[in-house]
Amino acid sequence: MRVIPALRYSEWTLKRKLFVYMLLLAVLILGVLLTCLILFGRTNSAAETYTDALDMQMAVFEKDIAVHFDHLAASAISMSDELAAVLEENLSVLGLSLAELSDSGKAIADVQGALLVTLRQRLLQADCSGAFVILDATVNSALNDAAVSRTGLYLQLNGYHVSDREMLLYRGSPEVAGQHGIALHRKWRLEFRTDTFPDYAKLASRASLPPESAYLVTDLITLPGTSEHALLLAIPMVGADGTFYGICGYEVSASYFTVCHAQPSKLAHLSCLLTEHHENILLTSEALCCGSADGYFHDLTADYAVIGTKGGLTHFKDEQFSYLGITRSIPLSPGEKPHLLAVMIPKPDYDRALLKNLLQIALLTLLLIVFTVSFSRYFSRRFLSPLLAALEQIKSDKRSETQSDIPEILDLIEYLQRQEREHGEAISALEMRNMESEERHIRLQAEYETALLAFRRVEEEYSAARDDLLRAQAKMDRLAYSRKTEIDPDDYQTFLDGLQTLTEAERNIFEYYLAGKSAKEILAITGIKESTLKYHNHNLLGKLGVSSRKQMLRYAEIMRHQRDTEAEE
Amino acid sequence: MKKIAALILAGLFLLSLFSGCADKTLLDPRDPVTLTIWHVYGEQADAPMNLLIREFNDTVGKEKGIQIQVTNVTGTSKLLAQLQDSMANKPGTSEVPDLFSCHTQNAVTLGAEKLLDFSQWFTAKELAEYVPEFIESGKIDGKLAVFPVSKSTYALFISGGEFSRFSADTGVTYDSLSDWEGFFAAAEKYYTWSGGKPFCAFDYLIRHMELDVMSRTGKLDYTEGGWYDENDPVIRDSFLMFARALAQGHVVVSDLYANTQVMTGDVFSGIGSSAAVGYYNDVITYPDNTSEPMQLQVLPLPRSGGEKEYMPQTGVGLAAFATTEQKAEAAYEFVKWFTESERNLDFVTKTGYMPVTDGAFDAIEHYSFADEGYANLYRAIRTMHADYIPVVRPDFEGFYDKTNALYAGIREMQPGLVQRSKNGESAEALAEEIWALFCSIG
Repeated sequence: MRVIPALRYSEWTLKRKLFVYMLLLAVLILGVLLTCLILFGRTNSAAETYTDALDMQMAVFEKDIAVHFDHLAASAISMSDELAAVLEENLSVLGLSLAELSDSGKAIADVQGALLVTLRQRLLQADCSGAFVILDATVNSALNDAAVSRTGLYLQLNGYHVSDREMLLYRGSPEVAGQHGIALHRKWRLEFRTDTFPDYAKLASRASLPPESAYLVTDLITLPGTSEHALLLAIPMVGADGTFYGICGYEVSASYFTVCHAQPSKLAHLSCLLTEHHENILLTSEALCCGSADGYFHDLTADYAVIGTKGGLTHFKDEQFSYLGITRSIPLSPGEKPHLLAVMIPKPDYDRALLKNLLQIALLTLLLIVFTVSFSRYFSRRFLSPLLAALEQIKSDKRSETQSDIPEILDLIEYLQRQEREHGEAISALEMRNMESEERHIRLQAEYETALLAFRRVEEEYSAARDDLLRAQAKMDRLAYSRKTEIDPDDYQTFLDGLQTLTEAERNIFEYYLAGKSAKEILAITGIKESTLKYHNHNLLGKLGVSSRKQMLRYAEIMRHQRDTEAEE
Repeated sequence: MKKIAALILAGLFLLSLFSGCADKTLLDPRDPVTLTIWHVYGEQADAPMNLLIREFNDTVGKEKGIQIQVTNVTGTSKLLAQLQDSMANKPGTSEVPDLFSCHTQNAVTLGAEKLLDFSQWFTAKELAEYVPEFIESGKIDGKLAVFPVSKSTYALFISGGEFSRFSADTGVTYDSLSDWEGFFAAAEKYYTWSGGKPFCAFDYLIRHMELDVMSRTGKLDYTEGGWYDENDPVIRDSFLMFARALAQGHVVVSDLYANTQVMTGDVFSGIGSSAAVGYYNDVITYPDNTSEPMQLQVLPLPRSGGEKEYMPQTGVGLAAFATTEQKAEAAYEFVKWFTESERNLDFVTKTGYMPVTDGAFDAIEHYSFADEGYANLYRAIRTMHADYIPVVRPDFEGFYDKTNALYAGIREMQPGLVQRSKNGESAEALAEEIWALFCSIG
């Protein structure tokens, strides 16, 4: 497989290798850091953050509402007893029963005057926007709708500012209100209508129950004549003898709820609702709403369908807006269907936070990459620059001048210098030996040339000797030939035949003679006695048929020449 | 690296170029600025002011990054004290709001230097669309500290059903009530016809004397002590005209507001702020729990018959504390949106106020009212706008304490005077006693 040179590890520069190692180290550290963050749960997503925040907000809101209505219920129970006592006391003074109070405007006004003092005090003490008491009597029983018209008092706070505790009379005697400096509500009426008052009949039917079981928190109502929404916490008012006197209670208006239940929250657009309990729908049009104290919340006027969940939150949606939140049931009335609490944020806020979170992660990752690469590059350069510069200097001619604050480099320079010195000495020795060899070579060359000249002279002498030899040879051949032709063939044949009869000793003596040896040399070689040699000589000459050793050598020369000639042919 | 740095710098440069092309605004729809507001236009969640604020939040506010949050709804008379309490950080008070309703005198008391100068934000062309007198009334030393969003005047509110019966029996018509002479004659007749019920309750009696004097003389001077010159014969004459009717029980000074006395059937009509139209009940309920529809009729103030007729011009405007430039821009955007002709008309016609732009005034004629009482009111307002000269109410310190003292004194002495009148004492003499009270106030 072909590898791009740049990717071939063996060809990487030191700088590149260090950079890659540092990069790997950074990635490793980041990986460990990320793993630790995940393991220790420090990487909560925006969705989890919102879910946790809303969960916490719901806990706060639920506690807030539960405590509020619990205190209101407790106050309503004691108010019911107190108003019943005031009523009984005034009826006693007037000498009337409650039933006899009807149609007596004056007596009703007197009773209302007494009740108003208690009611106003209760209103100022309780966490509410209004307080009411309805008596089971009417100022004019002759009217057509007298059966559903009941006298009573309904006081409302005109503002929720601490310094502004002015009240308005929503229902009741204007004369009594005037006596106490209370102005009339712009939609004032003299009496209540029990047919439109929420749960009046049910409350009347609960008169026999213990007070702690008798009170009710109504569904959200629109106060007659106005557009103001409110919840009422009402309780039957019962006499000591069990007589149903009417009902009393408190009002928590939408405006009051918004002001008094503003939630401390970091969720700037938080909406908190107290509404009726319905499946798969959130009736915000029937809800008391509040929001974060330091932010704002959209007034919720539509009903939102539950269309699913997202990130553990319930998704509410209408045609225009979309919210995510948490709901929880809260029992406000004993023995009745619970109400529903909801804390919600606009879905666009949630989506925007998620997107922001993603962008932040992306940006952080990008920054980490940029910083990691940059710093790895920077530090690898920073680390290697002096090293490389020192190496460059080492490679240059000015090695001895190399300055470095790296001990390893200094050691290397020292080592190299030592090596250099040793190499110098070795080279000097080699050069000496070389010079000696040169001189020897020259001397040998001269000797060689002398020898060559001598050789050539010897060779010339040899050539001349050989020429002489050849000439002598030719002369000898001619002489042999002439001798051959001069000698008696029979004698020669006798010689040849006599050779075959020679003993070994005689043969050896013959060979020595043939090799040119003298008698003395043969005696020295063989170590025989001269008499022995003479004996052999005598036998030898006799067997060969020759008269002398000279004739024997001539016949031998002829025989060898004859044999050489036969061999060449 | 150098290349990358160069690219980043180039990107930033391009971004700065683009941002330079955009409108210079400090508002950001992704991070809305919240302005808290205290107003006096009704505490109900569905009060017109609150509905308009909701509409603003859901439209322009959402688009531009402004959210208005109502944190207090109170009465005009209590707002200044509450603001001062909040500014002093007294226990139990709310945070000081960014925007609030107030009279120009309230703004002077708070300190104009602490307030936003709207003229720094509105262009001259934009300001030219508003009724000049209204703009002028909001200026403190040339600084437009209180921006007019609505103005009220006074009108005569009458229970229509009762008037029909009264008219049928006595021949008195609405035209009879077009001037003070006819008004007091009708009051006398009604008193007799009804068996002793007052014809009318006055919320701001002294203002009618002022306007009458101005109509007769073209001017009205106050004393250095901030009261009226008791030696001025026109003032005395005018005051006695009202005092005679008071002494005989034909008219009363309202307990607080005339509308409450009309809805209980205690009086037949009331003269008060045009903004009181929203406080007139739709029925009159009598002490025996019988009731009848209000059938509210509204008439222009009775004329004095002088060379010119005058009408009061009252009503709060909106002021803003000068804090950040971003909040100043947000306040400008809200106030501009809120006072645009069509919206302003929509608001004022639901609250009984006069619009603040000439365009809105012109459009009233063709406006379709859901309630006949409101239609009647704006017929009266148009008549007065055409024929009367608006006069800003006195703003000097202590003036209203004196008028309140006068009204309290009259309310206290009136039953006795009426009784004495019934016993045959002269109305003139009894009126002198009220005049004496008037003179004692200064």
